[in-house]
Amino acid sequence: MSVVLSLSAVTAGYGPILALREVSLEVREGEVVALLGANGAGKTTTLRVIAGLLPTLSGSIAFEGRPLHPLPPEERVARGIVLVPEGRGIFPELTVEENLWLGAWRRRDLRAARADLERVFHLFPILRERRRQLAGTLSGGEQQMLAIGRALMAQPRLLLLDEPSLGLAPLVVRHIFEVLRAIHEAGTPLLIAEQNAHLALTLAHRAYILQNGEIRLQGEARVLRENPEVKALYLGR
Amino acid sequence: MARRIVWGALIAGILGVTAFTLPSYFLYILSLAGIWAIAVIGLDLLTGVAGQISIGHAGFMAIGAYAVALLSLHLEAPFWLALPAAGLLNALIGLALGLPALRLSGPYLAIATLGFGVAVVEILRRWEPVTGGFMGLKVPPPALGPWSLRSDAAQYLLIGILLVLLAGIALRLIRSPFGRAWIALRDREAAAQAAGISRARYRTLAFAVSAFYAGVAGGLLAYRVGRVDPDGLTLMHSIFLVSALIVGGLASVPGAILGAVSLTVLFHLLSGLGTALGWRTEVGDVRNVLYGAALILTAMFLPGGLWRLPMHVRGRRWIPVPSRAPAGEEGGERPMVSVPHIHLGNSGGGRLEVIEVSKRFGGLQALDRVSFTVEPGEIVGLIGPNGAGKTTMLNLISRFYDPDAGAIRFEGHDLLRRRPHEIVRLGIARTFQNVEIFPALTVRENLLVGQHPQARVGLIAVAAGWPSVRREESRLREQAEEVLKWLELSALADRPAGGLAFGQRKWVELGRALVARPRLLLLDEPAAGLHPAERQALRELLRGIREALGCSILLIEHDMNLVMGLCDRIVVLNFGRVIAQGTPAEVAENPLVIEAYLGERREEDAQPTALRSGEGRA
Amino acid sequence: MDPLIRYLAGGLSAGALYGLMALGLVLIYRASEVVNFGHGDLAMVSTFAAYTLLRAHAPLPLALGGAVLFGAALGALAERGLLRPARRRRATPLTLVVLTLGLALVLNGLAGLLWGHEIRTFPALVSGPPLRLGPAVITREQLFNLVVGLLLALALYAFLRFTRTGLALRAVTQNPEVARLMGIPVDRILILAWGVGVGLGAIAGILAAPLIYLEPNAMLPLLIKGFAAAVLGGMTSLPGAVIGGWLLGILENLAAGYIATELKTPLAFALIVAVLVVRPAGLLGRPISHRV
Repeated sequence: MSVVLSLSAVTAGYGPILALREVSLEVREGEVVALLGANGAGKTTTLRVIAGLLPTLSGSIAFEGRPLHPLPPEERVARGIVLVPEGRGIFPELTVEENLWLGAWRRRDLRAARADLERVFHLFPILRERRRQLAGTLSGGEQQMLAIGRALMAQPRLLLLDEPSLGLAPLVVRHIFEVLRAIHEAGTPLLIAEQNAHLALTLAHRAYILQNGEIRLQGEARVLRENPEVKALYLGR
Repeated sequence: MARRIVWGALIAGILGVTAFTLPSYFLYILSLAGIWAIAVIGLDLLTGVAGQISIGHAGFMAIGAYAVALLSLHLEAPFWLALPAAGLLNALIGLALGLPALRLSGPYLAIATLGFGVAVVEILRRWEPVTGGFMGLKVPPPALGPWSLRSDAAQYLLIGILLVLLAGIALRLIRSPFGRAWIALRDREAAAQAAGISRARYRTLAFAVSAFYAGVAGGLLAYRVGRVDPDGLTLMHSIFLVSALIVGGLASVPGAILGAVSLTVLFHLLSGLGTALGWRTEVGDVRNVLYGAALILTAMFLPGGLWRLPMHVRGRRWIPVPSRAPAGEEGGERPMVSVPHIHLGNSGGGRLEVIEVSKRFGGLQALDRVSFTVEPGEIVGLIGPNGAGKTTMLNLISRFYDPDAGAIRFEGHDLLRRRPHEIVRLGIARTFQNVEIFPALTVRENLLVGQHPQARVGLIAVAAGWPSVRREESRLREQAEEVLKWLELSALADRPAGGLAFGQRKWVELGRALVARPRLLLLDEPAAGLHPAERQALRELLRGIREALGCSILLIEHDMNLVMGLCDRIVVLNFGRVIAQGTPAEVAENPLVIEAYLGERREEDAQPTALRSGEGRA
Repeated sequence: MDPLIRYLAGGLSAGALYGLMALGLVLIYRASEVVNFGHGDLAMVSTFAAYTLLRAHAPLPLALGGAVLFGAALGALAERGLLRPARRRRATPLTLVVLTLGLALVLNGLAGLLWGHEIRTFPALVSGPPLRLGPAVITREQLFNLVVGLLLALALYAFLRFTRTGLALRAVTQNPEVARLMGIPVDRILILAWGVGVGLGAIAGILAAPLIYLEPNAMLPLLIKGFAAAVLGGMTSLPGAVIGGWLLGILENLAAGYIATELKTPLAFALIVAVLVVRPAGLLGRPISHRV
């Protein structure tokens, strides 16, 4: 399997705080990779750096063989790197449909985009029902679905998700993860930052566990699921 | 004391010599410069130090000018009555304006002050019977008993002396608890309130003091020009005042003077040049272009103004600093705290009761009937996955907003009836997730802010520079010194906090909380961003604090090692509800807790669930 | 009954111009979070440009169109050359206010140097006898201003609601960072917002010029009234700007007609201060919450 995304010794931070220290990771074709770790471990920072919202202080990121630096976020989307941000990031005063169309904003192929819209409605029927509603009036779960649907409209070649389960009821989370599985099976590699380790490990092939901005553990999800160290990293010794 | 006499003699000497040797025209220009300088110092206190934008200050000057005119014309008041009266009148109006201004910030405040300034001019223009309408009024020269100060030299001296006095008062204010309170509110409002500074009080006070200065300046202008009229102090003048402030240097008394003097002199040089070259009407326009350009260039490239140019040239970053300490460099050693051997004085611990507290933000139930207690002297950890409501809980205790339901009591006091700045007086101090230290103040001054409720100084005493003020300041510094030593921050005490490394800032924030001798310490993610070594130091420090001070501690944390090793009891929140409480051992084995953090340990559910409307809201 | 309708007509017409000023201010504020204190002087300079073109015997549409484009270009330049660098340097709200004030000063001074301070008259854009609409009598100029104002407001609405770029602009006003994630070139959208915003101000200035005189300081009342309308309607609401403009126009005409003409300008200031004191969010704006 070829490597879709690779980070090499990436260091990044906010002002005086270093949030990532020499992080190296990979996402290969057809994979689902999970980024795990307690709060403040650096999961969100990693995704933001890949999306271009935060500059790297050192190290490099390559996507489909080409370096990502110095592309701004707008251009990374055009390359196919699409981020579903933490907290959904939907536009509250725009309708569901307008939000979805924004996902396709850079696309020129309107007919194909319309077809994709139908596909999104098929995946998330509730969005079709609420298509003319203002996105701010949707529930948390519906907003998450909207955010994912919007990302799909951008024809991602790599889908980044930041804590998709955050603040959502278990039933909703399960549905969303099923959709994510379907997306993955359709061919898109996923990189998911999650606090809910077990759920993420159920979906992922491989995982990295971050602590204090460094990778502490990595390996196959199957193996990590049984590893007592994982629990210790989350809950302390 | 000796210093004051030397300075006083020097200034008196300069003033005296220049008054009698410089030609009249120079004295006139310098007089005007001095008047503007007084107004700009006042504006600086409001905008530079207290951080509130005003582009209507010419309005205050106009009120002062007309007040002096009317008092002189109708009551033949001597200047030493008319000027203070004008100042006080303005102070009252400033207070009145400051109250509604509390709800406004940034651009909205700018618009409101713009409206104020222009409204004053309009009123003065239309209130003919009193103000003489657009014709204005003539103003007799300042009277002192039987003498009238008519000559350029006399007026120059009067203005010069007043400038020195008022500048001295401004400097004293900035270095006092008042100045620190203003700066703290300007830079980190929430932390300032948590340290006991009342937003309402200090913001309105800043307006009042600033207006006082503008009123005196306006009165002096009335005397100097010999007349008042509504076109003399317009929006353009308000913008000039802001320009002088920015160009000279924000939050700096010498900067304010420098800005006012240089722009005034520049304008008159231009006028002179214009006359010599024969272009009369265009001087005003050239002036506007130059002022505008100066304003833009300074704001972009020299944010500290001309006064900070030397610093800029040396490559240092400017942080508005009231004391003379140079800006610190990044880096430096992290303090390693050993078991404290200095006794801080046991203030004991208080009992916190949280009873059935609920809070909703829009569609999100942040807290749902949460109840727990912190016993005196206990260390309780508040943990839970992201978004569980922990910081909300702390913010409710700090009273930044109200709960929808429930009660919060500390040592029997009902916290819900208190405002944010009253909490620290009850014995509760806190730190913040984002390390809210005041970057423009030194480490020592940061701690002094923490002692704000204990500072007993009056505005007049500070302004006059009475010895009692210095004694009080010494007393506060001594207390702060103890905490500085305890935290091993003494070496950094006089460095601006903004230049410190991250770990050092955390210690400073803790110091600020400790210096208030709290009986309950609220800590929001104290370990976030720290190295393992620093975390170890933190753990020992917190234990040490509990031993030395005897206070209760409630801390939010994600670092489980720290929490498990430090806390007596732990409260676990998830989705805003308490899902477990108990000792660390109990909580670590609690299946609900494990599930909350790691996810459910169940076999995969293979049935897809198609979602219809009506599923549970998060 | 007649005077009332006359005041209303006059109020709606003047209000359309205030609304245009306010629309520009609110658009710029929502897109870039900057209150453009230079808006009045930008409009004034554009109006002078129109005047100059007309004096050079340019045909009316060319002169007006050229002047509006000139204004829009100045606005775009202000965003690109002043505000973007300031944002890159993490400018404080005070710095942004100061930058627009500086811009106002520079433009004011340059206008004085280029065109002098003599009072000029700007040619009327429409001529002809007043029209009679039922019981009301309305001058052609008033009708023209009202119609232009209304059409522009509708055009702006249509642009924002139905075009791809308009959608991008709306996204940027709500969440610029996430807009980036959609592939939207936020920097370019901001330039567009400033261009359109100042362009609207230029149109307002040109429409107002025949009614007042033309001189570098003559636009100040229009700016203040634009602010009053924006504040009244809510600095964050575009429909609020339009409604605020009309309300202000009607209120001031009623006050002038029934009480005293001198009250017109003070009314605007009084309104600004009163609204900011009582309800800073204005009629339709989002409430300003005091966040921790």
